[in-house]
Amino acid sequence: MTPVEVFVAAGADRWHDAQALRAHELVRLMPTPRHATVLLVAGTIPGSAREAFDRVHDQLPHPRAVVTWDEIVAGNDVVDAVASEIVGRADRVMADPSTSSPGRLADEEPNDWRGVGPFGQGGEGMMGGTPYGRAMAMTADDRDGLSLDRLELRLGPFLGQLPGGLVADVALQGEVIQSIEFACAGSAPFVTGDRAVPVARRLLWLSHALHVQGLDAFAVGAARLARRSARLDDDPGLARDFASLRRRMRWTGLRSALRSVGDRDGLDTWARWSAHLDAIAASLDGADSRPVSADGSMPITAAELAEMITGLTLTDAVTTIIGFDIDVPAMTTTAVET
Amino acid sequence: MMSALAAVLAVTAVALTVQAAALVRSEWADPFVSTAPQRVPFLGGNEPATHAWSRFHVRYYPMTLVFVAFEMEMMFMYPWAVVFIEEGATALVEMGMFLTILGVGVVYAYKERVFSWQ
Amino acid sequence: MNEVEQLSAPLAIVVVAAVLVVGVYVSSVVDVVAFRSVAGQRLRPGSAALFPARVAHRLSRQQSVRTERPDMILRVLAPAALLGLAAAAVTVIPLSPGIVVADVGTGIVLFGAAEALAIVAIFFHGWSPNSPFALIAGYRFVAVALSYELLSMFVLIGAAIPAESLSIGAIVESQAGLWNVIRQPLGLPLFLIVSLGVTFSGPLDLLDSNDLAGGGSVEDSGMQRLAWQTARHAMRIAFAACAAAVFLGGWHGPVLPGGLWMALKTFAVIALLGFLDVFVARISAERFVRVAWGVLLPLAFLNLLIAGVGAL
Repeated sequence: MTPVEVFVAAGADRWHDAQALRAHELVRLMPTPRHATVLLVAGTIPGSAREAFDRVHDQLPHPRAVVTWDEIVAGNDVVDAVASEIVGRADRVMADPSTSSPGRLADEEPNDWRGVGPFGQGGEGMMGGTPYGRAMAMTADDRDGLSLDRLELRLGPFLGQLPGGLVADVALQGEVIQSIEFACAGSAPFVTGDRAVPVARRLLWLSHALHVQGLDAFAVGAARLARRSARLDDDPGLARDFASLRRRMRWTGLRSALRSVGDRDGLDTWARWSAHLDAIAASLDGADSRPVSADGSMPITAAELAEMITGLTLTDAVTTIIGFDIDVPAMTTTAVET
Repeated sequence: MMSALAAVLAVTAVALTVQAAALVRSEWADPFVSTAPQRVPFLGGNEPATHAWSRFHVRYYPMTLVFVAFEMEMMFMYPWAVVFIEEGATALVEMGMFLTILGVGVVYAYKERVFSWQ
Repeated sequence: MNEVEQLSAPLAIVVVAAVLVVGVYVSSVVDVVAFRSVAGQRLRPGSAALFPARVAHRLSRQQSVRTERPDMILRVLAPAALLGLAAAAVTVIPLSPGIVVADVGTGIVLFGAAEALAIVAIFFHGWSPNSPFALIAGYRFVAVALSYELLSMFVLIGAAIPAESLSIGAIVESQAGLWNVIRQPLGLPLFLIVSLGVTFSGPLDLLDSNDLAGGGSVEDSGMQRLAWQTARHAMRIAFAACAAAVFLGGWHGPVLPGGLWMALKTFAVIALLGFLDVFVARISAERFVRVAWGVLLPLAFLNLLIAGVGAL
């Protein structure tokens, strides 16, 4: 059987748990909904993100199915139950594409453009109007006296590469970020490193971070360790297996990929990763779960993170954000009916 | 007897046409029509404010100029490689001088931060 | 020099089609095997062998979503051109002592041209859906591509020096005594880096990467995705075959027929590339550009020096 391709649209409270699905052989988490057959809805999705959720749902290609995590009655292993449900639904919808989940948003174009304007495509003047339904990017001053186009994007709550629920308003010129602002549902700043989190949660962070760095196969290994640590309290092989995973990770060139990316007070992304990995190893060796040491993943507010990232390329910005185990504030409780 | 280049062209054209035909057919014969919300480019759930096509600030533009210089040098190296053994050590020395001059250019570009753009 | 009879056009097409179809299938299976073995998942031979067929079947039944204002000509042309260029690259590579689809006297020039135009085709793939992530991925890939393009030309020219000819058939024949991987040791590693770049895999996966929601493939679904993956694997075949011919002695080898040796060597390179794709983390475009121009280019110069001195 080929693995079912799934896109995860998760609220902040269940996003890490959904990463555990990477361990399952018959499920593959994809970075974009266009590659997916099944949309996995996990956690509570606030009212403010409802339209974004509907849009992501519509962006999946037919035949598609929706599986909701919270609706699955589980025995002792939720992840296995979710995975079986996903595989079952995918089989059913592929066998009978007419049962594909219908669109949620109205089939309306964002702006009227047919027949509008002197050329009939909605444009007005050189760059104005909404040709083909959307405006054109306008220029803004860049360094060196240049003035080039500025792409303003709202990176949404349901991206595969950023923690679920994170919304960022980014202005890009070329690939370099000119300004970035994080939007939170709540008003609390991000806090990382100042709390003690269970080792399973840290391993799930690792699994996602490895996926973003292009090491999907290692992400599977980390997710598997996370599931084992969540199941049993005393698994003697766990520390040994984690040490072996960490050894193999050394050969992947992660260190040279992450070195001197996102420098802050002399700590780069690799230093943060090392601090996380050390904390995991210490927890597995029997130490009480404790905050990651202040050297690695210091408490950081959204404003500080935004300032750190401004001026980096989008690539390096994502790498830097992932290096922090961000605790996206708990979202408001309005759930979406699915 | 067919010339070799004609064979290359024939193979390329056939491969290109087969792939293009498969894609065009799949677009026409698709039983599902893309709805307007489905067509929005993926950004994590929100709509983009503008088209993506724009006057993109290509930050590595100076690097492409250095690349073009090396490409022109490459054009000279192709015939140079063929006659190298005939010409002997002089060929090695001459190309060495050429490459050294270009190498100095690369070092200068490095110092001028042509290869980093953040 | 071996006088190889030029194949007629239909036969040429059949040979290249056979090489690419078999090669793409094998390459996809190698990808699955590499992923599952590194991930520690169960590896059933039957399931792995049927994997590409099942995936192709599923993708052919999936909708090809269209974006708001794509460039449809380029959307169709990009995967088609990439496949066409891979086919063109395969034609100049000797598959056995008697079979070269197109024994062009300037084989490595044509190969380099196919590689350079592939950069354009790959950029078009990022440009055509009019989607921000795809566009950014396309532009940053071009930076990487221009950097490795020079490396590939230098190492191929280095291999051409002892052969006194630009034809890949002549390069293979010049390795009758000693393979290029031994007398020009820097050539093969640099060429493998180039291969990883052209197929945007492993450390150089700056096109379809996970950190940009799938990058250039963010809007690809169904047949579009299948076509792009096919073209990518075809490029991998072309570069693996070239590496086998130019550095690993091509069809030279004892006992077994030349064609079989060529197939085995190509398969070995494909397996290595597939493994590196799964095992090595992605580095950022800017870092690779600095490394390519600062470290790898001097190594290419050194390789040229070794080749030159060795040939005299």
